[in-house]
Amino acid sequence: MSLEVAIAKRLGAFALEAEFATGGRVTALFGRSGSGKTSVLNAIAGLMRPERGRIAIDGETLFDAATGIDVPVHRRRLGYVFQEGRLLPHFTVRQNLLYGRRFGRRGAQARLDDVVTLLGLGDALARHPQDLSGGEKQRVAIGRALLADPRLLLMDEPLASLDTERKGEILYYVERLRDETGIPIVYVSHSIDEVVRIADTVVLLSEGRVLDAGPMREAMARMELRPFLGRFEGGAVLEARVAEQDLENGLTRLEFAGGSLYAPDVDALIGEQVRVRVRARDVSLATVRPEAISVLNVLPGTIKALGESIGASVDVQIDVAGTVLLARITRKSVAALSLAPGRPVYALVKAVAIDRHSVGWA
Amino acid sequence: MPRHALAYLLSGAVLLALAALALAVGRFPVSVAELATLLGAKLSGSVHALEPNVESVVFQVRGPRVLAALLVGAALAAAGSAYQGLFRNPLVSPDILGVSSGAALGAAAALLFALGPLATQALAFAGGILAVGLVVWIGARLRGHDPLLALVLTGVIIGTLLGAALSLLKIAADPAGTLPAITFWLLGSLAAIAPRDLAVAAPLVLAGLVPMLLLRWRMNLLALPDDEARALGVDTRTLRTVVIVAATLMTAAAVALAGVIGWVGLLVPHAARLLVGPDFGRLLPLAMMLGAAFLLAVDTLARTLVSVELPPGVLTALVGTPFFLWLFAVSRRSW
Repeated sequence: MSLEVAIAKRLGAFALEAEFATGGRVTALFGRSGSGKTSVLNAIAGLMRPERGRIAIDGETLFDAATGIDVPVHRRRLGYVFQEGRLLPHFTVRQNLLYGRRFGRRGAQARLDDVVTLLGLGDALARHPQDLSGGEKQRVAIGRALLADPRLLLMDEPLASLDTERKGEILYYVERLRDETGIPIVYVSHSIDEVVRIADTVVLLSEGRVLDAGPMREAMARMELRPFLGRFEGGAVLEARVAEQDLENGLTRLEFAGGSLYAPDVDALIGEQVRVRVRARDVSLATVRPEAISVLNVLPGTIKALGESIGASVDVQIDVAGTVLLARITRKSVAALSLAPGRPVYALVKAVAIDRHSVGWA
Repeated sequence: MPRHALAYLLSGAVLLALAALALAVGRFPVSVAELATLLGAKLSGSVHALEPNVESVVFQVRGPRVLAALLVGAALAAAGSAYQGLFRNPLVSPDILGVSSGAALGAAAALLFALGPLATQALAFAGGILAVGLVVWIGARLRGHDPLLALVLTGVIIGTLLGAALSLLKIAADPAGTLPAITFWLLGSLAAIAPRDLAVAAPLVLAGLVPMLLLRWRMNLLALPDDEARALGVDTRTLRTVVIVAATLMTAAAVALAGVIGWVGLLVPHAARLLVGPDFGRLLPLAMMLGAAFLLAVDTLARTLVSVELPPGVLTALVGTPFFLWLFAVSRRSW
């Protein structure tokens, strides 16, 4: 799949001027609220008409202001999962799902059974929307969109209205969707945890403009050095493999290119690949290997670069055997330890700082 | 037996019984046995031994009237169901959206110039579509108001305006000839309907019904917010336009035939929804049966209750107002 977007529109005082191209399986439109993420998604869907620009999927033009092409929403063959998807209240889950299928293309229709299995809706088929949890409703909305046999699935913060536990539930199904259906997804989110868990391509939006776009890990690494993400958001993403489950201590040992990383109770089998996000503010630096310390993860590496200082703090990139970690430390410490690029250091990561929201399936 | 099948069966039985009753009662009573003999003879083509009066009462006087009541009731109820589903709004109906007033204005103009039934139908449709178009257009532009309220109030306002235009038309009418004709027709009456009028109106009602039946399934998706329905693949703009035109055609045909008979289009869809739920495919046939039965019952009462014939619109309002208030109190907002 290739998606090309280059659009402009004025919405009151807000000017949207977004341009990017992506071929990712899951492309995250990431940014703060009000950055124009949902507007971009709606333009792709055809629910919002840009003033200028062009939108194309796999070379097929959906919108082109110059030539006047504007494929109507119902002919774009896209699935849309809304923030708070509404179901038809007087129909059962099965009927709600089949409403999606009715409008799909003939012949290429995804089968109901597959979607029901994929989304774990088998027990819910005969129930009515008012008897479903928020997470189940959202799964039905996803299933409804899938059964319309879309060539691209658009998701607008599908977790926004859910509590933390339900968020995890839906993320799990989105991951399955990504890995099992092959339908590309454009996913709007303002949560870096979600983006890191599911996306392979990131488009960073701010005030209606694309600040950065590219493969997730590279874009994140570039992003980390920007003040954009706010004081406590920055971090690095590691691809790791589950090496050991220490049930007695409730710890999991993860192996990545730079060594081992202990994290509490990762819900995965040994050998499974996971993604771990290590926040910059959870990483400390030491110039000598510390002894008698509670921190479990002590990773030797060298300083790759120092970021711009923001207030009292500086983000430091550390190369740990090829994997880049980020540490947010004070300017005072940088000076006191005479930190500079090329200098060997130990990166210290508290295991408990890696919570369950920081880990996802790769 | 599923609930909706039971509702269809019972409504069908009531409808048949009411039709037989309506053909039988009146100043010249016909017994059920006579009715059966007459119908049997008519169907088999054989000769019967009844007085010729009986045959003329049943086939010339009461027959067309019964058919008109069934047609008008079914048309108004179908149009009301469609409007309510379309606007996701339990308060709309052909009367409230100004369609009836618009159609009445058109039809009254046709009466004023003594045009034929076909022109009357055409003008009624033009007036109806103009009215609903205006209401929808203005209602959508009243931003900052509850859209439901905006639509209903705009309907009432446009209806009043069209009522004023109608008064103007009556001033211009000949007090000895066309004025009483217009006035009585406006009150709503099924008394003077000729088979010729029926032959014009029935195909128009049918023409409005066909797209509704074909689109019944998509109509349900209009219960979702507009963006979601569109994202699910429904061309909501075309759907709305087609259904509005179809429902207005049915309303206009009913109004041109029988004048303004209020409440049927508001009341009956609610009753049908309470019985079978809001699925439009199930709702539409039941609403039509109930609408036909309701208007037939009302018209039969109107001509037999007292020695003078009452306008059916008076009776529908009398029955309709309290029933609607009760419905409104007990029914939840789902359709």
